Amino acid sequence: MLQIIKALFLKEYVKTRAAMLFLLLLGALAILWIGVGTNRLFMLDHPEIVWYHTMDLHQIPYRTFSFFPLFSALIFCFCQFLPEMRDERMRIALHLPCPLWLLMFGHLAFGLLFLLLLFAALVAALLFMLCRLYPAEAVVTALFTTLPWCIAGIYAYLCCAFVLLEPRKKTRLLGIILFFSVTAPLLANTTPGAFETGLLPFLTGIPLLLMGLFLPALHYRTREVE
Amino acid sequence: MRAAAFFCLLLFAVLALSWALPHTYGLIFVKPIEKTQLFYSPKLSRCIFTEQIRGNDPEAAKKSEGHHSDIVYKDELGNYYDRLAFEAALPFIYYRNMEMRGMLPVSVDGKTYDRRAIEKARRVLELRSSSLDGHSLRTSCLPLIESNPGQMALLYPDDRFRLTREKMEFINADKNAEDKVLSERFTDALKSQGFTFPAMHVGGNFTNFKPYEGGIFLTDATGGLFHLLRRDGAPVCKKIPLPDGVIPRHVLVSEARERMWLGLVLDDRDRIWLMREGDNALIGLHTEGYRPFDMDFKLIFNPAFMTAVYSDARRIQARVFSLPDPACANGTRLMPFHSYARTMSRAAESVETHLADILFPFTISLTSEISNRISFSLTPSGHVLQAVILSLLLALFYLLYERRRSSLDGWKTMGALFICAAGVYALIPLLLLEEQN
Repeated sequence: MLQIIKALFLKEYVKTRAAMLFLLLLGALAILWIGVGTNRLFMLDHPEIVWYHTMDLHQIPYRTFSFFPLFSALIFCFCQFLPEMRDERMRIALHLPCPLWLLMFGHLAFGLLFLLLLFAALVAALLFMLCRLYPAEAVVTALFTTLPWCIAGIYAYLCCAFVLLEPRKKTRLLGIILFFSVTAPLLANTTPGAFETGLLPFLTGIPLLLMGLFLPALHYRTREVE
Repeated sequence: MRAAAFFCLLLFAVLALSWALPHTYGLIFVKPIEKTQLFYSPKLSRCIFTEQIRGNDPEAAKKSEGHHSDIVYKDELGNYYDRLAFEAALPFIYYRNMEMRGMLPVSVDGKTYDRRAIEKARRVLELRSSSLDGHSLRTSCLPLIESNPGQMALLYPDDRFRLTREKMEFINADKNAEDKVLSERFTDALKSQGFTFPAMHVGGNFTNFKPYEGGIFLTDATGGLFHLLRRDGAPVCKKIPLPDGVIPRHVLVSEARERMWLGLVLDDRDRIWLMREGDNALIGLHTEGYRPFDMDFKLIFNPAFMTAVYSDARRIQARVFSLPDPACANGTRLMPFHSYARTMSRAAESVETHLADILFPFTISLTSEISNRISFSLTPSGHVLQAVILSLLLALFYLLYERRRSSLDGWKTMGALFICAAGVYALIPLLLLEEQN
């Protein structure tokens, strides 16, 4: 089983390394841009006034980051699954002598692992940059402001994988509906830190959807080819 | 494995749709209605209110100004008013319009009030449920403004404080590091007055857009209340003498030019106390039925009386009090001379809300009026029986549809059971999945 996972991860790495590098660079640029913008705030005003704007008036200097996880997840998902679905390459993998669930979860685990590492690295860089300029309270608020955006990215990846793997057009619509239903509240314009106590239910939905993704893979394997 | 995947996906879809569908339906079809504005009219000696309505009220339409026919002006006896008559009944609220119309000075109970007298006495203290600890998103790193800045405008300090388990810690904004000298000085000042860490609550008006700095109020671990002021950079701290049985839960500070009342105190028995400027004496208000974590509270001061108005999502209540004697004793509790309560127009059902109650057997909400925090709450339909009947009909439709399309099997039966429990939330994914054995 470990060998299969290793082989799968190698295949996915070779296929997506350019996309991964691109997203990593794009993310680093985004954080750098946010850093420049935030530093400039402290050049234009006294620190206590910048703190007032951020901590009391709830202005978010890192707002640029909000849609980054979502779009990076979509880009990565397309790079990972579109080549597989185009020309039916996925069919070869599905006929390998190993369980379907292992193949599917291997593919998804690779994508999720990359996205988790990417988001963790970018959020850590953002928080590190903020903790030099703001007190701990503002940094904690930033964490609970960016976490929902990252969770929206994870859901975007899973829903996009659902749509790409699913062979039936009608069922693909369900993936699109779920994408909008889950990402909309996570990306809504709420007060910074509003999700501090409301993230757990969103996290518990991830294993449910991950498990549910086995279904489009089954549909794909048992589809009727014209 | 396939069955597990199917039910996981179905469950996830039901949960996601039970937020998304009602939310989208509400955005498209349901007109949001603000809370009723309720006042006490000294001219009529009764409560008078204005509110927006869904649908049509012929009496209100007669009094309306064309396109504003959805705004109703009424009093507690059910009499309708037009906008001008409504404003004339509330001279202490609309005194600027009264002045323009030559209706000032106004005479109430034999006393005459001009614009200056009204302006001097007018103020509103507002305690929203969303501003209470646990509902609010206020930062716990707060500024303590200098009360003697040596100039007219208050200056924003270049440091902030936080209350840890052991001390009051000041963070200098220039260095983003603790100012240990200041931390020690203020912690010692608090301890010297008998303050026991950790603090349970800190109340203050943390802005420099106010006439003067009234300081902050801290509740300590034993329930004692302490007033802390920063004067010439040094702490001025004193313990507030509280009436028996009062343990403050929240302190609302609102400095006003008249310097008579500094704010409100909410105690652990949900009682509201008015805090006097200077000696910080507490004057209680009998506000029966006030539930601070569900209701917004407003205290409106006029030259002749004060009105406490509080409301949850459906009902609004008013208690009208005479102005307290400025020298009354700490712990005095005032009784209202007039009370009124009504169900607001926003609670009334419309065709759209009724239809939503039938369509959606339950709803997941993430936001609420009473809190700024995101939290999950599951609300059953207001018309459970009708929603269940619709769910059963949808399940029947699903079974008939599937029988016509292919054949019935165990999956379809399970799907129908899901529809019975979750109605349209389960029907949509089941129709799109078209799963079969």
